[in-house]
Amino acid sequence: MPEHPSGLALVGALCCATLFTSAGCDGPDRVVLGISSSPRFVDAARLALEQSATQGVGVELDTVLVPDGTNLAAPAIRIAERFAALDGLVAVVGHSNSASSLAASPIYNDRRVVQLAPHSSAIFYSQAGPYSFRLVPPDDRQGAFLAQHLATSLSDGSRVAVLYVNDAYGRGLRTAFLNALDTMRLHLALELPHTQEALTEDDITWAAEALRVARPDVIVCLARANVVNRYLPAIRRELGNIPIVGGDAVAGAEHVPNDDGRWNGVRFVDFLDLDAGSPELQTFRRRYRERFGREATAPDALTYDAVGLVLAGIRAGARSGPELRDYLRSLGRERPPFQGITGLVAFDSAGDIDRSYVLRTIGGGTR
Amino acid sequence: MSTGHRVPRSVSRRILLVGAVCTLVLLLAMALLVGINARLHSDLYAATGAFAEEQRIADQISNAVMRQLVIASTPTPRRGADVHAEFRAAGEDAYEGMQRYLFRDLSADERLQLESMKEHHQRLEVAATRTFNLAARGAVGQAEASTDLMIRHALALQDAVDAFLRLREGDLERIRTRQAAYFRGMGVGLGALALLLVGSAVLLARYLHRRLAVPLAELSDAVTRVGVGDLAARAPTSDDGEPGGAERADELDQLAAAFNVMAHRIEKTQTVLRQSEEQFRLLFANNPLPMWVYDLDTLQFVEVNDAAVDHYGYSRDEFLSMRLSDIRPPEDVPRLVADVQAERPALSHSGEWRHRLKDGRIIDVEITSHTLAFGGRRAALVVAQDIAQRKRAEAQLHDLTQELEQRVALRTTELLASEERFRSLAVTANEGIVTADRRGCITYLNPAAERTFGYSAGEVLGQQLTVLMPERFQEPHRRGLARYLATGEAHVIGRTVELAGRRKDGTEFPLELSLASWHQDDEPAFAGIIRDITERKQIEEALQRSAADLEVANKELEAFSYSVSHDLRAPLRGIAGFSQALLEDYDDALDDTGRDYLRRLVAASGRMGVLIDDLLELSRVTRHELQPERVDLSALAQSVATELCQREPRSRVQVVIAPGLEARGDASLLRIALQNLLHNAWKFTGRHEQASIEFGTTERDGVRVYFVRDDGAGFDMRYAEQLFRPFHRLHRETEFPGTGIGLATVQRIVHRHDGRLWAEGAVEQGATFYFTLGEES
Repeated sequence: MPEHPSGLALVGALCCATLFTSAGCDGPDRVVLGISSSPRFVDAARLALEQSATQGVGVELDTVLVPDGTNLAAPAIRIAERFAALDGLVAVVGHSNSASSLAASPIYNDRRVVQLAPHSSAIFYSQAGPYSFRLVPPDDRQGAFLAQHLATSLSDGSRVAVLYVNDAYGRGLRTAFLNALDTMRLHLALELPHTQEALTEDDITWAAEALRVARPDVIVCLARANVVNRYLPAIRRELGNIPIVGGDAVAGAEHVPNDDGRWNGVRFVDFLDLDAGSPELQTFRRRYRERFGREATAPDALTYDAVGLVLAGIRAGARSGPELRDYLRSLGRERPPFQGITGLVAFDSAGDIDRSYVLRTIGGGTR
Repeated sequence: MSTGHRVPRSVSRRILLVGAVCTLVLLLAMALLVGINARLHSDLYAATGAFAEEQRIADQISNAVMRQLVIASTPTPRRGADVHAEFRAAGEDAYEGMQRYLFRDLSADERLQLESMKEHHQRLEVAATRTFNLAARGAVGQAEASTDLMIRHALALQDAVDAFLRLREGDLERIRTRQAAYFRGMGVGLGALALLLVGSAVLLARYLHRRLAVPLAELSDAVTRVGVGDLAARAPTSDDGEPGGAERADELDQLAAAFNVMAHRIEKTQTVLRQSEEQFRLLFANNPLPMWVYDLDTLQFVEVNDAAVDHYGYSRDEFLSMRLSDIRPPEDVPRLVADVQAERPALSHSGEWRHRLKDGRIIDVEITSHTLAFGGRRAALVVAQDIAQRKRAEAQLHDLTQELEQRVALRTTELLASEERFRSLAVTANEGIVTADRRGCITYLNPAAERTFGYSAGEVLGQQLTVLMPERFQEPHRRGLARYLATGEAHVIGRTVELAGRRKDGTEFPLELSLASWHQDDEPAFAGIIRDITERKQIEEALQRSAADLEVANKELEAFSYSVSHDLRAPLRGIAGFSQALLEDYDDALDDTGRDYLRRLVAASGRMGVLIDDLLELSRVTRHELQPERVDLSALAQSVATELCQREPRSRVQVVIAPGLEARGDASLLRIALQNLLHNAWKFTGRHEQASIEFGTTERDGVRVYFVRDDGAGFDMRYAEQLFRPFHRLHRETEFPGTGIGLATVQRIVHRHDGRLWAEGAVEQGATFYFTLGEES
């Protein structure tokens, strides 16, 4: 698995990083930025770092990039422990999803280091601590958005099946969605939880059969794209072209192989309409495509903005976690919001951001 | 013993220091123990509380999972949605408990264990959901298999919770281990503290033994030795040969040193006493004058010196067997007994006595005695001085006195001759000479005085001097004479004064009196030389009358000048005004010559106006009644200079005014003087590119002199005196306009202040005007 380094490789990289950062001077004119996320998001972060290298940040900057393809909490905790041991660490951009970001957040808050999660939307993350920020809204708003979309697109009494990953992300979004659904004239036909790692083909077969028996009019997939990708053949086999609506974790699925057309017509919530974005966003997309040979997604753009935002704080004089935290809190208050390629960035008291959603269709447009 | 200096308190300070250090160590140790104990208690309390809380969370998780198991495993007739909701609620309870763990202070291992708990819970719920679904569809076999899976995950979850709690228990164990280590350390610390205190006590005891007990024993030994007469005994001190010992002196050292000083003084006093006794003995024994000591009660000789033995011829033993009366002629013994029995001072000069020598001769001696205690008896020490030689000297002195008296008689004769010469001089003198004795009675009147006063000498000799004075001078004369006799304070003696005399016919006349005094027969006597000054007085009165007449004439002249100047202004204004009117209103009627004449007329009348103004000011200066006061000349000059700058602005003039110049005078007149002087300086520097004007002060012959100096046109010193004459000018009107009155005005003002004005200068090198003010000299 060359793209996803093993845990041993991660620890080795971090040990080297520790030696590297410790060997340098620990004066106030040197800061360390940690970045850990899925490999493709780390690529977006690398692009942001390259962009900032032309501008400089007014201080010697060491960056430690740790790609983590596991999407699990345990590796994120190990990475966070290593990050926390680095001298001069002021911020970490990461991690790859809600569960891992949430699991690592207490470590960063104890260390008084800013954690900026580009696309972690777990509701619990709002309680992670004063040093935890993110660039997407919490999932209670996404749940309401999804329910509202179903209520307007389905007839009364339609049956809804929920397929969700049973972790911090899926549980929170499911709860928010079901709470909103209670106020609609729609019927919950089935809840199907799964785990991210232990999903077997038997589980998938059984789930497809259960879905068939439940006869839903729509399937809401509050799961990550790689798991949905495994579910889809069975679902298509059992339920044909039943409407499928995914949460934000499905974003990026439009670029996975879809030779059998399993993703066709799947709609999902996204934080950005990439095609209608600003010129800067389009420039980023072009550069990303040219550099990595694939299309950038909304999480890529958010990761790019997260790194850019931290660098802007350092450029503004922040040389420690508390100073960077104060800088982020001041956005939209004492100073203007950060102008990112994904839009204006300013945080509320919980470190959350107010951002609207779009519903996109694979093989289709944006709504 | 109070010596006034501070005694070092090193011993007490060191004992106090040791006590304070021990107390401080104890307090610190106790505080440390209390602090450690409190910290351990706090840690243990917090850890126990946290662990109890985590136990409750674990219970919450276990209970919720058990509920989920029961719900998922039990067939229920209720509707599926309710069961799902109940199952979901129980799952939320379990998940909420795990989230509560998430935000606690956990180690990395504990967080990983927590994630394991979550993972098993997730799988449990997935299996439970499958069980629900299969059971609802009647797939009992599959449902049971799913239930087994669910139970396995539940057990695994419980194991994970237990493992998590064991990790947390490890924290408690670590605290307990730390506490045990603390207590071990505390025991070691207490032992060390005890050793420290015991060591301190031993050191303190040794210190006290060395610095208190030993020095006290040595001091006691020294005191005992001195007490038994060993005055050389000394108590050891720290500076006995020990380098730096003196700096380490403490109270005992001070005490030992004080004792040593005392012993040294006693030893020294004893030595002095012994030397004194020896000296006395030598003085008595070797004295060249006969000396003895006798018992005042028995008159028995108790000691006698060698001179007495030699002089009187008795041996020492003979003397000591005799009584004082034995060396007196029998007829002097009663006087001796009376003298001995009389009260006598410690040292008495008992006069001249006659003593009988062993060979029977009688000698005159002068006795001086001194009462004393001798061997416990009341005695007298007697010094007998043979005065035979003195007696012979007295006889010689008597002879000399006789000779001196003869010489005095001769000198008196000479003095009488001298007196005769004086008398002749007095008789022929033109000045009246009168002498008087201490009572003021006339003792002599020379012929000139007789002529002056009209008395013959016989008429006034023996009479009081007041007979020659008008009545108004008589009482002052008596008071002055009495004061002189009582105090020696003389107001007229030695001086020449003008008084009035009274002739025999009662008429008064002015006289000039020069009075002298001397002593005659130890009594003061007085002589006055009298000059009739009637004629001189008449001349002086005539001069005074002339001066008064002159002053009146001057005032009348000044008044005339003032009124003339004042009255001239009105017609002059008319001339100037009408001339100007002619120029303006009848310009066409006049030819150029007429207009030129009129312009000259206007200019001349203008100059005359200025001249009249200056004359009036000069007159005012003369007539102005002086009102002396303290005047700030510096401020006055500054004010004038400011006016000049405003009236005639010039860019390159430096005016320097010395600060703090004050004088007593009339402020308005002094302002006019400074205005004229400074205006002159301003005017006569006008043709120079750069100019400097200074008002200051200097001192000449002890007199304060003010000056106004400029570096302008200056003047030729040959004409210096002409500067102050009215209307007299040293420069042409076209060069420097002016009336020539200003400096005359200044001179008038200075003179009115009893001062002096003069000038110094040179052509094109500036001028300096000096003036004094009378009160300054």
